[in-house]
Amino acid sequence: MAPVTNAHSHVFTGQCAPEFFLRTGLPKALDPYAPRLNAFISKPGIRAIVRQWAKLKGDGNLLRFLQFADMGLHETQERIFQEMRKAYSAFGPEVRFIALTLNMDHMGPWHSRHGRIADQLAEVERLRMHYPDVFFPFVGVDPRHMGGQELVDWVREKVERRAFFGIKIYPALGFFPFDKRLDALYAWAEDNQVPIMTHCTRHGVYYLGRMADVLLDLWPEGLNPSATDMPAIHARISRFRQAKLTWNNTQYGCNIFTHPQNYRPILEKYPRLKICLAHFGGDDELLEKDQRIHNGGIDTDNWSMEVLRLLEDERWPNVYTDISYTLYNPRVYEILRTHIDGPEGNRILFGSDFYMTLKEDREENLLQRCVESLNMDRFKKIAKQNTDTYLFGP
Amino acid sequence: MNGTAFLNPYLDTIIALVLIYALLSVLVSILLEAWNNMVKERGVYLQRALFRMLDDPLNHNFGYLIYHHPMINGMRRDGNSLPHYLAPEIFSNALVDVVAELATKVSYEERADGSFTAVRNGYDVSVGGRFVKAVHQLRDSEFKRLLENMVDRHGGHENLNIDQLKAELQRWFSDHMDRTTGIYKQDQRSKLRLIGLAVALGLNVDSFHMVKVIYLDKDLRDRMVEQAEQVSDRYAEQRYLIADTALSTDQLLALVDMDLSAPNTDLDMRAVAADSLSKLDKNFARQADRVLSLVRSWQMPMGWSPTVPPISWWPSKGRYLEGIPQEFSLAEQEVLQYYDLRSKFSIWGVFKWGVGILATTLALSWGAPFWFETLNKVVNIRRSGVKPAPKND
Repeated sequence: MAPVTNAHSHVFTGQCAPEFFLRTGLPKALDPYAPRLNAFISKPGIRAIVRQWAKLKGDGNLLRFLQFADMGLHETQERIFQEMRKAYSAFGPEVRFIALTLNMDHMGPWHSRHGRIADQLAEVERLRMHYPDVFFPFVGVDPRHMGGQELVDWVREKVERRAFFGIKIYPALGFFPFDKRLDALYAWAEDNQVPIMTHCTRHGVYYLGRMADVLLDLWPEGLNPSATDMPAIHARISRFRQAKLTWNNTQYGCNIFTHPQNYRPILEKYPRLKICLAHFGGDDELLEKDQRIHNGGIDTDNWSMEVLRLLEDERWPNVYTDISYTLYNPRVYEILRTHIDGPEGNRILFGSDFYMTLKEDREENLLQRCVESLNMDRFKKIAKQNTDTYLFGP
Repeated sequence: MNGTAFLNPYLDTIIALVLIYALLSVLVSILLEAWNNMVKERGVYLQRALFRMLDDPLNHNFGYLIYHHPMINGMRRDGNSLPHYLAPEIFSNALVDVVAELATKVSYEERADGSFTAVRNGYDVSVGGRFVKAVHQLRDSEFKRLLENMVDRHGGHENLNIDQLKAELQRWFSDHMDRTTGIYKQDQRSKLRLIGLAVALGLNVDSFHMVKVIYLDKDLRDRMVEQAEQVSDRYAEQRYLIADTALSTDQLLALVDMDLSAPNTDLDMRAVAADSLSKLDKNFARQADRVLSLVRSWQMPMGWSPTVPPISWWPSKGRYLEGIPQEFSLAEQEVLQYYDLRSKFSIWGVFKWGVGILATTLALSWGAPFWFETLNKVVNIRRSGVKPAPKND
């Protein structure tokens, strides 16, 4: 039987993110100071001082954030990979990891001198060479980096060498997944059954510039203009454009790009596309709570339900979801058990979203909770059987 | 009374004040070095400089890539730290290698048992050939043109002289590092100001108060001038020994501390990097402690006590003199009267204290070398005048 596989993990370092990355969590007034703050907390000594202070205060949130920052600020991706691998030692050295690279080069309009996507991939390639049997990276793509046939050639060369095993997209960084520039890539991925992983929750990093920079067209045509769902998508875009809340706050605004309905036009055109909508819509949506986060009524859809509907649609047999990050919440397991035992159970993957989850708990604890809450049979189903099918085909 | 003798109390006061600034500047240097070491400032600065120098937004940030080259990656002390210093030869070799590496590919073959074997392609040509090929493959950018021009200058695509190319890269790196050092020093100056303020506040060093006390208290002034002459002599000796190199904190401390043996002139950043952090921390603490001991032993007019501002301004915490004893000499009575007046709260007093602290901060931000140099000059001026008459006890 296939070894345990974590289908959703990250090993990129803070040097792969733009210098203004900390705008994500700062109050707007402090935005211009983000690069300086970034340089400041990059210094281990500073974090050591803050950690002592957090310990004295007993501030668990700050300590967990520092745990996350320490991991992200490792100097090499190999160090992060080794830390992740340690957490899975109970399952033996053969545990496999799908490492999702992320193209953060277009995260904002400001200049930054960080490691570009090409550098991130070059380092990941070295890591693949060191751990060829357990390390399976995906290529992070963004239509603003390149598109059309050029993008296909760029990705194909990497996948055919078996240096990379799939494609990672992250629409919240400022593009629609049905962007025309991705059309040729989807066509090639469907033909070759190359797996795609996409971010699909309202949380996480997002485009940091102005919405006006990225939401250019009220009626984006997309790769399938006649798709059934395009009118509904356009109506939502229209609501987003008219709402001050989303216009002034890209954290909300970028949900327009990430909405699971955006994948319907793609799947109508490429029904055999192997795509995983990560995070099962998010733990809050899975628990069907908290409508107020849904952009002040602009978008009240439950994303978990929408992901589930995509999974249940018989026209699209290769749509997957994973439980990454969502698994930190102990209350989701009752629902997860039902879904894993249900007809859609073969297309739910185990993934943890390491090291983003360090903001919640240590990887060992999350893994243990997951195994105990699901039981070993269910865990093996999603972590061995399903992930193996997703990665290598039936 | 001749002219020089008339000037002596003023000149001696200046000399004593400069000595105090020199001593406290040593403390500031020690604290700055300890801070830089704790936050690994030099390593971070070098990395940022290389990221700036080698950033090609259309292709790669080659600065990122060279930090993963084995020659530089292997210099990390704990696998996660950053090297403080790069030799130009290491830089040029690493840059040529990482660019050349872009012309190679590793593909993987799957074995029957599902495991993978790596197969390296593109290594059939020399490193120079791979370098040229990789440059050619880059997207058109300014950085690509820079590399292409370098290739053209040293034999072109067909006959690239890799040694000459590396020599040019080394010159480029050295020039860039010179500029970076200048920026680093500017950056350090702002830190010096902050630490200077911390020292001025921490030790309650009001420059105006010091000037007044030194001027009024002849014994204190004479003691300090004597110390200043010794420090100045040691500085004059050391200055020629160490020529153009920057003084380390150990060397600075040895100038003001007679009990220390000859300074270790070999203590440069490479030696520091080789030492363990805990050892260094202890070294910085020892050095700072030594400076504070000197401050105490020289009985300088600074520090916190209930009889001096700003504590004395608080009615519940301050303590005042209850009359000045008549058996004191007139000069001593004058000093005590000044202390008594200063210890009482007044808006003017608060203003003067604040400006005095800021003046100290500004003075300390100029750094220890400036004050040692100044001390040397003012002591020489004093020596060029008439020698003061021996004291009549």
